[in-house]
Amino acid sequence: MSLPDLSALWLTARLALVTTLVLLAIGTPLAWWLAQTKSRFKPAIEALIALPLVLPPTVLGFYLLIAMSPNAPFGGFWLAATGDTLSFSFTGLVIGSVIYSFPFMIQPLQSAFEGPVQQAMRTAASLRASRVDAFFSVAVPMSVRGFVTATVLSFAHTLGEFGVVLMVGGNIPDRTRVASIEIYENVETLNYGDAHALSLILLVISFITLFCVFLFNKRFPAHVRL
Amino acid sequence: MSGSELILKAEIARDDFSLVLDEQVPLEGVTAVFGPSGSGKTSLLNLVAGFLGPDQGEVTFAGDIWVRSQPKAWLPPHRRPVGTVFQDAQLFPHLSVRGNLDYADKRADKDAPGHPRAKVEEAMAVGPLLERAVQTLSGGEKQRVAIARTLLTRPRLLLLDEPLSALDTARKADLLPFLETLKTEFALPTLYVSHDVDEVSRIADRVMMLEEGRVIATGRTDEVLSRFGLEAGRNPYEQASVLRGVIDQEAARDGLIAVRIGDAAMWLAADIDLANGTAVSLKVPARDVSIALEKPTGISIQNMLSATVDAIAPTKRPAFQTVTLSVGDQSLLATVTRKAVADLGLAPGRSVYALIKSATFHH
Repeated sequence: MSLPDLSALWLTARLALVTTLVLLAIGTPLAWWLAQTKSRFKPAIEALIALPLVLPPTVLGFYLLIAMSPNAPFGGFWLAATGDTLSFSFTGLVIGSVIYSFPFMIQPLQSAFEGPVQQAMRTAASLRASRVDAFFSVAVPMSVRGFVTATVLSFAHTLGEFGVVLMVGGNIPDRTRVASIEIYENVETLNYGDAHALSLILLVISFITLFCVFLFNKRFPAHVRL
Repeated sequence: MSGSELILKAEIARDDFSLVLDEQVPLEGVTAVFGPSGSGKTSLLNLVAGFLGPDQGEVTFAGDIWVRSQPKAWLPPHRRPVGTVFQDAQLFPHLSVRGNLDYADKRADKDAPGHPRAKVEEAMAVGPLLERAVQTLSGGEKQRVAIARTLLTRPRLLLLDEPLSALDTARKADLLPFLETLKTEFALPTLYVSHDVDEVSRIADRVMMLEEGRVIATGRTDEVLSRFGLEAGRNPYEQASVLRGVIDQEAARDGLIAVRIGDAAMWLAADIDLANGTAVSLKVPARDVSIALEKPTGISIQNMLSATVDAIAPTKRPAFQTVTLSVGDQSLLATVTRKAVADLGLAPGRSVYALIKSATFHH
């Protein structure tokens, strides 16, 4: 069994990393807003965020592909602004992955931010901490477990995505051919050896990642209300 | 002008509650915000702390506007020189006891008058707890740390939200002296939310009584409490009043302590030694007060006070009525039968003698 082409694996790792960072940046304020809002739009927004959990990735990918087409307003704008098309590009993959893994970032963060953390924010305010100060000095340290869970789940989920990537990115080596697609390709071409090797690598990475989360959660219990 | 008052004028209407206030609270001593749960006590605290805004009205502290609806003004919670001690202490779980204290100390306005950290730690006896994780503290210890933490922010107004309610009786008794220390040593104007008559009568100088989001009475603690026949017992029928007096050692005799109440005196058997002139409170259960039209003789009851009938009100038991008596400038409640009220011809203004069968020191 020869060593398979690792460029797909490397691309997958980069995609998962960038996606997770983007999700952290977008997801943290959104989860914070959801944890404390009394807006009547909250259920609708929560349902929207949860959609990727139930929707076939092909449906999501199909709509994304249409939106990213140079003929569509969004895709056209992107082309005009950057000189590059979104579909079949790494950036397009990141956008697709961000949407696909959204609930995996939002839901753990939102539940970490609710209840005790909101009360602790008031306590911090009573101790003269501004909102921003209190967020970083109280909410974030009290939500470490939520951050770890959200980050790792988003990362692992992006590692394993297939349908959306295939629809949006196609199968361009070094650009959009991620590990899951490479495996599919290998199987289609009866190259079982490489398929085995890549599959095993993905399986081990995913297991180790999740194992670390559970280990961490065990050692770092959720903060109970005092 | 309002240099030494907390002005609370507010109308708040939500689906599940409403609060209407028009109060001026003197900025000295302890004011109990007292009432049953759901009466708006916590909303009142939130209004002062800045966690709740009024639909209409204003909160002005010693001339500083904290919130006003017209013209609009708003001071965010962390800019208000208020220290809140929450019901369940609310220590930060990710910090040690020392970390919790540091948190407040670091953010305190160092130009504001305050007390040295060593004094705060000593007064609340938190020195031995400093390195502990907050999860390992008992309920009473948590509250002491929470109070110390709040003091370190150098507040000008203290809000205590039922600080004893999460504790059992023994721990309550442990913590009460610290609350008294807080009152005497730090002398901060305080709003003390509680629904416990015992606590209120022990700690508060005055009472603001709330019911269904309205203030139904304000005044000196003993006045308000006895006006409503409030007493420590859990039995709602068991009413009592509190009489204030001073120890009169010259009148003490036969092993009894004498307490001068206005012109009169009461004698009690009590195993305590108090200096002449010490102010004391006596709790008198309403059912242990009888009424006579003339001063009886040949009777074993020693404590008789000349009184005037103020009001007669029904109790929850049809056979009994509560008679409010004036003793000097104080109120005394007596529970007597409806038949007795009729037979004696009791009516407001009538001069009587109150026969007191039992009274206890109320501290």
